[in-house]
Amino acid sequence: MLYYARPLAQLLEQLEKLPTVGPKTAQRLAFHILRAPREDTEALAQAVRDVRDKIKPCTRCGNFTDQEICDICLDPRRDTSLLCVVGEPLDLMQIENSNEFRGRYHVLGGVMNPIEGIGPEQLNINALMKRLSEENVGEVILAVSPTVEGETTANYLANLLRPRGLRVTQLARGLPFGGDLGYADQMTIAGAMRGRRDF
Amino acid sequence: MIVSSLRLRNFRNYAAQEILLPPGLVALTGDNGQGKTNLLEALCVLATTKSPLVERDRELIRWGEAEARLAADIELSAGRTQLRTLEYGWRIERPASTERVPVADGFADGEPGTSLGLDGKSSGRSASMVREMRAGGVPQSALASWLGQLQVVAFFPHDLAIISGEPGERRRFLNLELGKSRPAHFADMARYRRALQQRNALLKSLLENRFRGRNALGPAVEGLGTLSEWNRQLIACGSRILAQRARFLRELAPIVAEVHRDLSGRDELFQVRYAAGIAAGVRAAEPPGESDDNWSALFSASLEANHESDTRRGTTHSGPHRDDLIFRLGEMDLRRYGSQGQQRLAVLALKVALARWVADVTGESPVLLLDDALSELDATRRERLLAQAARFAQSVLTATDLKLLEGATPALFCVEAGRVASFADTAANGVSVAGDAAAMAEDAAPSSVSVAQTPAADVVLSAKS
Ligand SMILES: [Zn+2]
Repeated sequence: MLYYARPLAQLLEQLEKLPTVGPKTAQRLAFHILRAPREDTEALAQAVRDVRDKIKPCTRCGNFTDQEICDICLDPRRDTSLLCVVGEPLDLMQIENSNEFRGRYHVLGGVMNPIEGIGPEQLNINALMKRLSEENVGEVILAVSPTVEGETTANYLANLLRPRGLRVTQLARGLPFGGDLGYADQMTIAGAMRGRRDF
Repeated sequence: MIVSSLRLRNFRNYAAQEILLPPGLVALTGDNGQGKTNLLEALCVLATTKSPLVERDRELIRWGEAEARLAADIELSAGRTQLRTLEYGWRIERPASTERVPVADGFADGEPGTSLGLDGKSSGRSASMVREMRAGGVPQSALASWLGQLQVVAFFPHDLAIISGEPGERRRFLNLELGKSRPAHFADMARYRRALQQRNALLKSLLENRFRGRNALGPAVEGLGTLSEWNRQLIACGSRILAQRARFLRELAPIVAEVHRDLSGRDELFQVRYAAGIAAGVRAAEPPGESDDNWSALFSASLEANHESDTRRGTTHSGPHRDDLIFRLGEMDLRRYGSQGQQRLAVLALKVALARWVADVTGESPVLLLDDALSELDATRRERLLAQAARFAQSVLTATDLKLLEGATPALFCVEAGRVASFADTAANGVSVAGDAAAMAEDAAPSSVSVAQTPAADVVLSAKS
């Protein structure tokens, strides 16, 4: 067992709490920080503090923002008739980065997960219903991850939304684009086979 | 398909060994504890990434070593032109160089993991296991594409538990054997298990809140509303499993009966029946057959019938996690009333039939592995089993005594203290497999998975008994 000076041990301990960071990476990061110029380490510490202090959920859609309402919600060029429902802000970023979607979003802040005590009440669903009453949305795209929890959440939402006379759609899934059948695993192929469409 | 070459390094009691295996019947002979079973185990690990004998991969690595490797050359039966090499390796990583990577291991009910990497169970600062697999030299990461490249059907003496053991043993059998030919079954199982855990968690929270008079998951009505949503998810995942298992048993049952009749030499009907985990009293208008929709309706009715007991006890009482198999010999329930001999013959019939089913489904004869299958059979049945085994492109079996092989002409290998020799060499010089294993292990480049091929350590078959 190696012993570190206390401040270094504390830094290692904090770094190891980060996802995908193990002891070895934590060590590498810590020694990098130790050798870095003072202004870099100050900037890092300040950035960590700022992100905690200044970033909060958009009061309309739940996306991360440093304002009351986020840039996407305020963007007048967005198609207001399309609303894309996602689980986490990270999912929103992924879709946004594809440059394919020009509507707006609603972030649930998770998916239904009884093991972790998350039911519909813990999700941003009431706000979604309120938005649908106030805004002129024609289609809701359910873009939650196709996990067991995500699908259950999507089904639950679809049941809530259908009586409102909205078009409710779901992201297609199956073979990755440009993917060769020979490289797709059998589970993906089986799923794509079950979800096949008329040509 | 056949395995034409098997190479082991630091696997169990083998330091370094290559065995060139001929097609047809292959017998590994030698005293107990010399390493016969380890060779069959090695083939199982190459086929499924998982030992059928031990939970922990650590036990597969030769004592004192940090790295083990297996490799096999596979020849397909058709044409014999297609040859592929499968390589599988483990490395124990010391804590200093350990990165914690979460792995969806999914080993719970006995099927192999759905992804590779660290052993999953060992996180934090303890030593962890890095697994690596290559097919034709190309690194593989998805279990689904790995399975099926080497198809084996194995019998080990502990398989008796499929008949004599608890229902969990039979579900394990269903999972593994169905998943080996249809890897999507593993994915269905993983999703089903997850949906089941979530449903049970919801049932428990509804139960606790009923006692506490409040509901953390929203008003009671909403809680029940989400229960029906979880039911739907459970049914979607579960009905496919039920339908697949029903189909598997429908296809397997007649082959099992035929093989058993041949092995026993008696005109008794051996039946394997699927007892789906559907509530007693829930009956379908017509037999559900193999339709997802019919099973879905049946499962749904079963959840409804069990609703009261499920909510009262906070757990799910129906579904494929309650499946079982029933084995009958004539009118007798083999599990309860069968003698050990009857149960053993039944398991052997089940395994041979399974191998024939795999051949039917995949169009390629699997490699049949029989560990110590002969010792407790009488001479007639031994001969019949050997004749059944000889019908496959390749069958590898172990026997402690050459007398057990009478009536058959297998290629013979002698196994002694982690060394394998063809029988001719053994008869002439005792076990004389040359080659300094330790030196060989050092010769191989550390980055390469393939075991160094030292001609002296090759065992070339030159004689049949
Ligand atoms: Zn917003």
